[in-house]
Amino acid sequence: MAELRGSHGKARHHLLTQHFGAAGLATLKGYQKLGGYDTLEKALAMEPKALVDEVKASGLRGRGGAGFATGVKWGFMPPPDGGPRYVVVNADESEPGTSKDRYIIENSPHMVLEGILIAAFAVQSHQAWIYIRGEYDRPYRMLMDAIGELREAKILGPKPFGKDYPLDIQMYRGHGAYICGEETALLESLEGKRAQPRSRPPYPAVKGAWARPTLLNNIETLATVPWIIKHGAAEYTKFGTEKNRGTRLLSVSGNVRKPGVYEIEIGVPFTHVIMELAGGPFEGRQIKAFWPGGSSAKVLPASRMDVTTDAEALAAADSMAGSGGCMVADNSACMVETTYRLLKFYAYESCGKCTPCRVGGNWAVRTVAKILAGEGSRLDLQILDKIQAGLQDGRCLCGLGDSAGWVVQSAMNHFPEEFEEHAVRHTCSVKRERAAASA
Amino acid sequence: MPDQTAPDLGRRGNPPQTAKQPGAPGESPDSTGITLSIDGRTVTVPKGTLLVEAAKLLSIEVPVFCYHHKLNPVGACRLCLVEISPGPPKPQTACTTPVAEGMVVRTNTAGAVAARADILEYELLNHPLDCPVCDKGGECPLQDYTFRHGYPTSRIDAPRLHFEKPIPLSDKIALDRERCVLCYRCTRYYDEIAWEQELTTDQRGVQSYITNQFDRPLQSIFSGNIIDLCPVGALTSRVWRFESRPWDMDHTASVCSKCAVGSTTPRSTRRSACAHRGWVASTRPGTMPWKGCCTTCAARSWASRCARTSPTKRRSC
Amino acid sequence: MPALDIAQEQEGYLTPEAMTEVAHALNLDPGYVEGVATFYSLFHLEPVGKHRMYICTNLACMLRGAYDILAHANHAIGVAETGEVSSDELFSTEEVECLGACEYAPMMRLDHAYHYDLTPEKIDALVAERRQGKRTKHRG
Repeated sequence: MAELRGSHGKARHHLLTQHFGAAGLATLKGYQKLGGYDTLEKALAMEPKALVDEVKASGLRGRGGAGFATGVKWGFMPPPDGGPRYVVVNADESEPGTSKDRYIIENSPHMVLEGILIAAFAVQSHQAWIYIRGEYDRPYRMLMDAIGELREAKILGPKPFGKDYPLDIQMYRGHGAYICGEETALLESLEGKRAQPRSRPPYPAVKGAWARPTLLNNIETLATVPWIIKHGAAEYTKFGTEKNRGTRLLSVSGNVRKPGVYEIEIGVPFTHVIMELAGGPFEGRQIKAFWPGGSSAKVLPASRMDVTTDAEALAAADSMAGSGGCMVADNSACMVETTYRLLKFYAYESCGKCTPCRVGGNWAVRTVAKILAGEGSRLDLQILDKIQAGLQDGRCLCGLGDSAGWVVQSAMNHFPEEFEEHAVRHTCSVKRERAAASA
Repeated sequence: MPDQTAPDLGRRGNPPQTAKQPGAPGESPDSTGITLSIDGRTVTVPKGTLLVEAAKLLSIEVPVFCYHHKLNPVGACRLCLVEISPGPPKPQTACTTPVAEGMVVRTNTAGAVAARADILEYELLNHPLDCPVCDKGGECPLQDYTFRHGYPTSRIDAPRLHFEKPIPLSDKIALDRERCVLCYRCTRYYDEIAWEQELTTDQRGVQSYITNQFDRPLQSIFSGNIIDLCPVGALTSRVWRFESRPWDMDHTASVCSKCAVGSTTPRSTRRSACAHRGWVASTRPGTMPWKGCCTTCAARSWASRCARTSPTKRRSC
Repeated sequence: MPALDIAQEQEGYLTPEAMTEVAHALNLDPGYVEGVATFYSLFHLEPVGKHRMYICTNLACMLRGAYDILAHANHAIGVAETGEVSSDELFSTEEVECLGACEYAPMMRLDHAYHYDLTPEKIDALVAERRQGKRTKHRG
């Protein structure tokens, strides 16, 4: 295993990552030695409704990107009608710049499984599915091994901890499609179809996997649940801001000295994350821009590093907390090039179902390519601006199109001179500087 | 109630459809009737009616490609964006939103108008604009909508995407993937009504295209219906390819006599010669949405008649 | 999809025959299976090298020189374009989107394992290892 790059060890705000790196944590024995699955046993003795209320009281919000209140989502599940109902775990972590779920699974797969089982009991489901992206070979194997251990230990099975409540977890591997991170596309994919998002309503809580009530949560969200149940919601609310409780994992990457997955208390400023935790920029470089919540979050210039990590502050700064993938670019990066790369990603990953995203994404790529090739004009900038507007505000079926629009909008908004330079003067000062530096 | 985007059935001389659609005119609002306002006009429709249908009752055009009243709504083409209050401050698709009491719908706000124009611009980005030689030209919703809802000028100077074309889907159907707007009506028809899977979508993103499996000819006896379902000139009849323009044709209501079903089918004539027999048979009230068998029998009759008659009389059947 | 996985393991990529076979085994229409297979990027419909290098070039990796790595990998296996199969049919490269190991950028996935902090030297070593027929267990 490669060196651990990210939070581990004891610290006040290391709720999830405290034991990361401890020997044997990935095994059932090692996990149980540290008190693992005690919380599940405790949870199974509680009323399901009490569990939902506890999570509601903790103020935990989904860590997948949308940031919806987890307890409220659990509460949306209709009362049991005797038929099957599912917990589907979204481990299709494909948001560029985000690697926190892999970090959690690779370090403590049992923590994830415990969270899943608690959630399953809370919403009265007997069957959980983990949808993991196909590229994650090692996390997949680790989860499979962990599930195997649980079956052997009879924690998964007809009577976990002696309670007559059958529980089971199945794994399902994705096959390379970013869109599967979108909850309804994930369900389509889980059913073995082309992963094209469904039109909502009906929401998955009413009609999800195989048209049955389904709870969808992200890995990090569920990994946080055991801590909340163990220590109580009141403890959890001591962390974070008023509207954003707790801690979360930020994957910091790009042009920084110490990239890694860092657990932070929600509300600390990005200056702390980028300059202190991640070690700041390389010698002789300056930070130019950062994407605070994965590539779908609007890019912010370095001058906005004072913004805090809670969703409200980021929304006020016209960006979003997203999936917690913080990518940092320094002055060696050309913002038109980064925009082009991200647009290519969104166009490639578009499922093709709805028109704006299918065609608009591709059009944006072609326009930026033209500008990068030195064949652009002011008109192309206008067209680009129009395309990004045409991708946003509910024009698309799911959020992918909006994200592509935000990429263009924010980059053009914060770095207009770079676009202008490429489109009108057909030069790139960053490239010139780079060439001068290497000479 | 005729579907807006299908060829205008009334113009083809079809008898008025008697099947009861939700919200059909003349239906007295029952206890579950929902009253809403669209563009300042009030209408009462049964619960569960979709906005797009309610708008039709008021003769307000909400353009649609993917929506078809016989197919489940998908909200894929995004052309039917309207503003709804109470609701989120962004346009919603009228084809997937059911009516609600007291709903105020506006189809003509700046946001909704711009949204539709943008979507149409997207649809035309890779469209070959070969209307002069397109069999759909003249009865094409894409043309009509662009005229009524689109931008008057074009900003598109990017090279268009190209696909190999036309693809023979069977001996009766040709597919032009460049004209296709990917409304998925044809594949959904196969899924939901014909219950077959011969026609699917391949690839993803802008590269998506409609295809028959491994290029094997379509076998389904219902396959001909997709020609009439297609809102653009992507699926056209090979039997009557490049033979006439839609405005040259006269249409008469007729009944297919080739089998016991007796499907209603429009009969099209050009200069008194039978030109084209419609594929879609209408649904009879109270029956399954079963779509006649006209592909097979019409084609068989076509082939045999054409073989029997002399070249000058080919078109008289 | 798991069935398609098994089919792909056999040939390295999915042939129309393999897809048809999967369809028959699952009582589905071959066209449906084809539609699913073409949607997902991890299903290959054309021959690929025995060792496939999925090199991430998305933003986090790109900022740390992923395109140089990709160019070097192409050079190391002796192909002109990304996606081509090397003449000995052992290797092919693929430019992929974020693989979710951004703190170890630039990185790639090769033979079902992640390889981190790539440098041209590391690529050369990995290629040489596989050319010699050795597959040491190198896991990130």
